[in-house]
Amino acid sequence: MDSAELLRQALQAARSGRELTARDLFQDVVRIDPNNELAWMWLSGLLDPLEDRIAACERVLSINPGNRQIRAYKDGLLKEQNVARQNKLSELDEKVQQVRWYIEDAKRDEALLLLQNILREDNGHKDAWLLFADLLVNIHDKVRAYEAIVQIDPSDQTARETLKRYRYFHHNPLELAASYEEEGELDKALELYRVLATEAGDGSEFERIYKNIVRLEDVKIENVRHVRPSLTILRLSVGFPLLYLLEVLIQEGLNPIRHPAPDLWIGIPMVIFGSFLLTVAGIRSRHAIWQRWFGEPDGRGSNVTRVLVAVSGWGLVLTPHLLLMWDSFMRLQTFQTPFIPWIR
Amino acid sequence: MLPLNDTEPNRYSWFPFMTILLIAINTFIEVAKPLYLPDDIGMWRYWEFMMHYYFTPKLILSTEGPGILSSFSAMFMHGDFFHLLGNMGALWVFGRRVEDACGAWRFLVFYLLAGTSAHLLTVLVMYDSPIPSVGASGAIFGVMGAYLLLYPAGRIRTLVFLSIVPAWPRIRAGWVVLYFLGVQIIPALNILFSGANYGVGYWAHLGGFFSAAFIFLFMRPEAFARYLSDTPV
Repeated sequence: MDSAELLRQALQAARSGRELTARDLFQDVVRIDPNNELAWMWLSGLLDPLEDRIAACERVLSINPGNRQIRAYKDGLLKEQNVARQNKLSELDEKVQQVRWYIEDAKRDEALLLLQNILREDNGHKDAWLLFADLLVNIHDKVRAYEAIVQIDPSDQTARETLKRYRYFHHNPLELAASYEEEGELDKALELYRVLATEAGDGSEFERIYKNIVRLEDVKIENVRHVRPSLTILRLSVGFPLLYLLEVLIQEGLNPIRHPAPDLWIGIPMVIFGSFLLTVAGIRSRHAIWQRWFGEPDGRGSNVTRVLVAVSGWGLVLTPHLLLMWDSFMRLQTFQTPFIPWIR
Repeated sequence: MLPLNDTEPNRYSWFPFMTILLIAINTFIEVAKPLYLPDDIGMWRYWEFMMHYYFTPKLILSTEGPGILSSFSAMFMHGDFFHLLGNMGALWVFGRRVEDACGAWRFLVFYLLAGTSAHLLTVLVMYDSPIPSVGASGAIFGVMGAYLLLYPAGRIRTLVFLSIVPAWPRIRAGWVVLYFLGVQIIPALNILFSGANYGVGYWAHLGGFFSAAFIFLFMRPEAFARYLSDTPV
């Protein structure tokens, strides 16, 4: 059958209201004659979904750019598509908000299920991926989720760094569990430790992980509060400078104005900084210096860099102390013992 | 009343490395005393030694003498063996678990800070005193104060004499520490207001005790979180 006969039958079917038959016949026509403007025009009204109708309009316009009627019709379809998209997006955003509420109410399973539905509907929804990645415990799944996020928004530097971090944790999962613990996410840490316990290579590794599980369960039972690592760093950084300050005060006879020794006061910022470095190296928490200074993806410091930072810290803390002791020693050398009647 | 032992176990570490090291250093310095301070040293040399290595408020204020070095040397020396025994006994009883809550190195810094604070308060109160003082008791009172803050419900095996009959009950740490604090206050006030001289550094004890408030700057993160949560440290 030639295209003219097919077109005739298609038109007849369309006019008699047999839309599905007409659509199939018009599709046969354009298969035989791809530049048949009339067939494409009919298809722009008969096809489903909206995207295919718009594609049919575009085909008509490529055959006949002067077809004003179809251009106006296409504009109408585009507006319709826009509205549909907006509706879909706000519908998805509402669902994402629902996920956030689930998370707030600690309904993790419900949140995960809804997120899976959202991502099935729109695989490019970044917020949904971020929430999904956050809820996942399996490190391999986390890496895949962040790969998707980076693919959706390659300019998101934070997501890139997080992906790098999780790729590191993929090979060091115990570090990730410790990191969760530091951030106060005990449930996540416990869940990960339990997964790792089932995958433990030998008895000693299992024993080590099991001890952590018992310890964290105790912490949960005793309802021990989480203290932010930044507060811990601040708290533990104060001790050494305070000691040095008292030492300098005693060395200067409690009167820095009458007995000034500026070289000793210069030591204070050194001790503060050194004490900070010692604390950061000692408590093993996530800190910007590991990423910024050493480019370490986990942000918690490797053994080598921690030793390096600790040595620098000790150097900065001890140098002013040694100078102070030297000053004290020199005074001892020149000290003339007062005669006993000096007592009164 | 003589505290003998803390009956509670450690939580974080099993070996009180720094407490034992401090006891060892103090004991070594006392045992080695005949080498640097022989019995026949003579009055003047003995006086000279005290002016150089004991802590003398008047010398500190006038910036004569070694200054901070004398604070540290005095912190590790004792008048006699019984002075050492009393102080080291208290350090063993109260230091073990305070070290456990801090970790060895932070405990050392706290110990030195308590000793330095003790000397600082002595200078502030007895600024004109030419009497040299010696002993670790200021630092040890700091450790006792820290113990009171961290483990008020702890039990201390304490030797007490009921008339002449000895007994060693487990007494609440709070009561033991408060007893030792209490016996400092009246003599300290007497020194302040009437210039009495007891030959004991009561104000150093109080200075060390008050410095216990700084213990929160030295506690390990887990112990601090437990303290904030009203859970046994």
